[in-house]
Parts: sequence; structure tokens; C-alpha cells
Amino acid sequence: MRDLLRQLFRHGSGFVGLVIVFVAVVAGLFCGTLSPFSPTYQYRGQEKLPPGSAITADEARQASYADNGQRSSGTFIWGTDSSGRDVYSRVLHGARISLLVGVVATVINVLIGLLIGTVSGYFGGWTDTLLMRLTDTFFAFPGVLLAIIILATLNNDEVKSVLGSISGSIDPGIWGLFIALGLTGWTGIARVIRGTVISLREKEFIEAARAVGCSNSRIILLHIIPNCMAPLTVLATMQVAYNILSEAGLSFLGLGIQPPNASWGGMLSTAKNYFYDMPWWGIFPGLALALTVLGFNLLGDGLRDILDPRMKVRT
Amino acid sequence: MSETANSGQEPAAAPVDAGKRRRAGEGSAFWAYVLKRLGAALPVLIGVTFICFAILSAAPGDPVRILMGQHYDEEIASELRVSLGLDRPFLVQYGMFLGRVSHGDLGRSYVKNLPVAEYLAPKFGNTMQLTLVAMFIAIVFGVSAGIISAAWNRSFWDYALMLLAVAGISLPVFWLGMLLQLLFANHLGWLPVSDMSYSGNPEVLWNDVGGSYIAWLWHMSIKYYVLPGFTLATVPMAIIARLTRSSMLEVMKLDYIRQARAKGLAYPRVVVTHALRNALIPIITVVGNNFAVLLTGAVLTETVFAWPGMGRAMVEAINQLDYPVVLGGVMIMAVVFVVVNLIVDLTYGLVDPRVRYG
Repeated sequence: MRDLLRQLFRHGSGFVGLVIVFVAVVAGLFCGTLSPFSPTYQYRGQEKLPPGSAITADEARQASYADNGQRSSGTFIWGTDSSGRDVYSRVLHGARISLLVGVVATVINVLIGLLIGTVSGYFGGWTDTLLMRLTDTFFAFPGVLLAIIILATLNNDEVKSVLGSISGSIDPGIWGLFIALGLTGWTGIARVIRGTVISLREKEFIEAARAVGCSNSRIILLHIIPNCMAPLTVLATMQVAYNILSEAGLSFLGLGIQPPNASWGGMLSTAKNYFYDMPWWGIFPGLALALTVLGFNLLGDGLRDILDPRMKVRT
Repeated sequence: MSETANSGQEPAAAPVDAGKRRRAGEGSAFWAYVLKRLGAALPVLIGVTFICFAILSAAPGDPVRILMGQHYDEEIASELRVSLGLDRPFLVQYGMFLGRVSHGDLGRSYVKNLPVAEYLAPKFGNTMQLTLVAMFIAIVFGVSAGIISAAWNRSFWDYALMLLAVAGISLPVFWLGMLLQLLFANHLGWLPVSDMSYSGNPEVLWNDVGGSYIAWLWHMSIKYYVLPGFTLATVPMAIIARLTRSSMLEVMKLDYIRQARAKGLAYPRVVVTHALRNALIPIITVVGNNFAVLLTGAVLTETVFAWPGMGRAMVEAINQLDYPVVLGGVMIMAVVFVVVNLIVDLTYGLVDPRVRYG
């Protein structure tokens, strides 16, 4: 692990990626304490303020309802949106949603991809044909359309009330995003893992393990999967970037996180109509999104250069 | 599709007549390969529609309620349900759907009161146009950037272009589209914000531009393609640039490149005719894959630029529970996907004569 960090540091762009990811993770984890204002609270009379506008304690008292604990003075460093909400606080809270969706969906992707890839590559034969045909089918599904169809299915009041009761303060739409993105992004992982397993299968140490009487499941779990970790780490890092982008896209289409809850895609979707008059509302969440995705992509590139000797071509 | 044509590397000392014999039997092998691939595509198409059908039937909304709107009447509703086959078991409904599709009938839209094929055809055409424009931009700029990066490996331009490429992959397309709109349409006023073509009178425009055909065409149509085209092209452009670079670098290490250089050929000529030609196969693969992805993933670009395409029509149909349109659209897109992949695999043989179909 320390070795990996040292190599990343020497890699340059990979380290930049790591730093960006670290900043995003800190923002996502501590957005509650880092935000100066509530992400959803609308300050009346403070709408459409440009970045750097200050609000005095007096104004804050007038702008808020009685006794709801929202009276605070301070500066809207990234301005306010058309409903008088603090853009900076909303971007910080958007980081939590983006990372949560990115990571959870990727975990589901990895589990499915690993299962299908190892079983398909290890057993071969008709199991392989069947599973690869299934992978092809999911791969042939047009773009984000499957995710959209799944989300639309989950987007009904009964499902929402059930999900709402278990998701607490977070938008229940997040469950739909987990499921929709988790079920759609695994095909690339499954294929690469299958290829790796096929080349591993014939190695002597696997033959040795079989000779001493290890069961198939033991060989897969203890000998095959640990040797797939290098490509898997790289793929998973890139997949997080992809899932974050997809989440933003789906929320932009109005299918993911619903306003007033904060998400980068959702903010951009409403900011779009005000982009000319209040560019800050669209610039900052977009920048946060692009930088976070860039961070994961740079980190993934760096990890690939370090972990995968076949792809030594440096970018 | 995971299957690709066998890029059988000929052994150096192949018998002399092997080449001739192969050429004689190539025609039938080629068509056998095409047939085999089409056969393999069938389960994929059935699988795609089945998954889509299953999810839509599990969806809790009632299409009949949507269909009738305010004039909902239980009696007519149940009649309608029977006539649409919605009262039948799931598998029967799916079988009926497959039966209709095999006759080329995609059904009738619940909401638009039009046959699905008739409704989607123009939208598909619009998306196809946008995709072709975007793909053209992506190939021209992506391949050029990749060649420059590989030819001057580890130079300033290499690093700069590859940094741009990573940025291109990371940029959310809809945000990029918004930024381009803000800069080129709102602030500079050079290009239109949205729409597909000039909405006014073409003859008045003809007089306005002073009878110049190129200027007329530009204001009539071309300028509407620039921003959405570049927006949609960004991601594939970046992917193509990265892949062209790594594929070229891989080839440039080989002996025959050194040989060509040693013969005294100029560097640009070696790069373009010797290296690029042999680096093309992975590039074609990624172009093909991205073509299909673009065609089906243009939803966001279409939304930003109000482009009347397939992606937007599909999202609208999903929100309106217009199942026939959703199913028909998914079907069309999956067919395009399969066909494009087949064409990609067939072009390998054109680019590299060593490739054989089997």
C-alpha cells in the first residue's frame, strides 16, 4: 500500500487525481459541518445573489421563518440560486450524493462483473457461452436507456414511500440510482475479468491447487480472484467516474435526485434556464462534477500504469 | 458483441499457394461469417426486448389510465385493455409482441395516435444526422491528435493533447453543451442556441444573405449542427485520440518501422503510411463501438439543444408510459447496435488483408 502510494506520487497525474478524489471525499463526508448554510433552506429576499454577497444576522432573521434554527449570518461565497439557497452548501452536499451513488453502484457492478466473469472464464463451455450472451445482451442495451427504464419503473408513489422510510434524510431517489446504475455498468468488468481468468486458469499454481484437492470455489475465491485485483482496481476506479457522470446525467433529466435535495445534475438542470443571467449557479456544480470525474479518471490512469505492466504506455 | 473476426497472424513461412487457395474460397467464407454473426445477434435482440418488456410489465403505472386521460371510464377501459392484450399473461403478451415485430409491425403509440415506426422514423433520422456529424468531427480531430501525440511522443504537444483528452472524457456533456451555448450563442451570437434548422422563410433568407449559396446553406442548416455536433463528439474524440496514440506507439516499436526509417523514408511518411495503417484495427473497433453509443446516448445532448431526436422521444415515452414507443425504440437501437458492430468487424478485412473470417 505504501509502495503504491509512493509510485502514485512519482506518477504525477495519478497523484493529482488522488488529491482531487481526496478533496471530494472530504467534502462528501463532512459536508454537514463544512457548509455555512443549510443546503435546502430558502432565504427570502436573498434570491439570485452573485458570489460573495454577504447576509447580515439581521437580514437572515428577516429572511427566515421563526425559530427554525436557520438564522445565520455569513457570505454566500458562490452566490445563491433562484430560490435563495446557498450554492456553495448545495455543491458540498451534492458531493455526498455523487460519491455515494458512484461508489455503491460500482460495488454492485464489481460484484456482478466478478461473479459472471470468473464463473464464465473458469468453467468455460456452455456456461461461458450462456453468460457471455447475457453480457452481450446487457451491452447491446442502448446507452443509459436501461437505467432510465428502471428508474421510471421505481418512480411511483408506493415504491417511493417504502424507500423514503428507510433512507432517512437522503433523497429516496438514491435507491433507484443504486439499482439502475448497479445493474447496467458491469459488462465491461465481466469481460475483462473473464479474459484474465482464462489466462490464469492454465497457470501451474492453479493446477497445483487442483492437484492437492482444492474445491472449485476455493480455487476461485483464494487463488483466482486475488490475482484479478490489479485490473479490477483500475476498472472500478474508472467505473466510479462513469457512474458519477451517469448519476448527474439522470438527475439532469429529472429522473434521479429530486429538488429541493441537492445533487450536481439536478442543480445544473434548473440552472440551465438561468445560465445567461446567473452563470455562477451553473458553473460551480458543473466544475465540481467535472473535477471529481477527472480526479477518478486520472487516478484510474495512474493505477493502470502502475498495476498493469502490459499497458505501460504513459499518458 | 464480443466476437471479432479472427485476426489470424500468418506465419512468416506460409506455403506459397496457401494465399491463392484462401482467396478462392473467401467469398463463401465471408458470407458464412456474416450469417453466423446475424444468427448470434438474434438471441441478443430477443434478450434485449425481453428485459425491456419484463421491466415495463413490472412497472406499476397503468397505460390505459394514461391513454384515456380525463375521460376515464371503467367499462371502456376494460374493453381497451382487452383489445390491447393487456389482460393477457405476461408471456403471451411478449409472444404477441414478437409475432408482430417479425412482420415488421412495431405497434401503435398509446399517446401519439400514430404507428410507432411512423412516429420514430423522423426522430431516428434526426439523431442519425447528429451522430454522423459528431462521429465525423470525432474521427478527424481524434485521429489527428493521436497521430501528433504518437509521432512526437513525450513532447509538450503529446502531454498537452493527452491532458485535453482526459479532460474531454471527464467533462459532463450536458454541462459542456451549456457552456458552449453560453459562449458561442448567448455572448458571441455566432451560433444558434438550439433547434435543427432555420424556421423562417428560406426565400427571404436567400435575399438577406445576398444570393450566396454557401452562406444560405450555413444559415439555413449547417450552423445548427456545429454546437450539438461538437458537444456530442467530445467524449468519442477523446477516446479515439487516446487509443490512436497508444495503438500507434505499439506499432512504432516494431522492426519494420525501424526498417522503413533505415531505408531513408521521411518520418511523416513512415508515420502515416506505415504506422497508421497498421494501427487502424483498434481504432476502427472503438469508432464502431462509439458510433452505437452515440446514437443511443445522445439523450443529454438532445435535451440541452432541444434536438428533436430519438433519445428525447424515448425519455418522453417512458415518462408517459407509452410502452409501444419504448419497446419499438429499444428494438430499433439494438438492431442498429448489432448491425454497426457487424460492419465494424467486416471492415477489418478491408483494412488488413491478413484478417480472415471464420
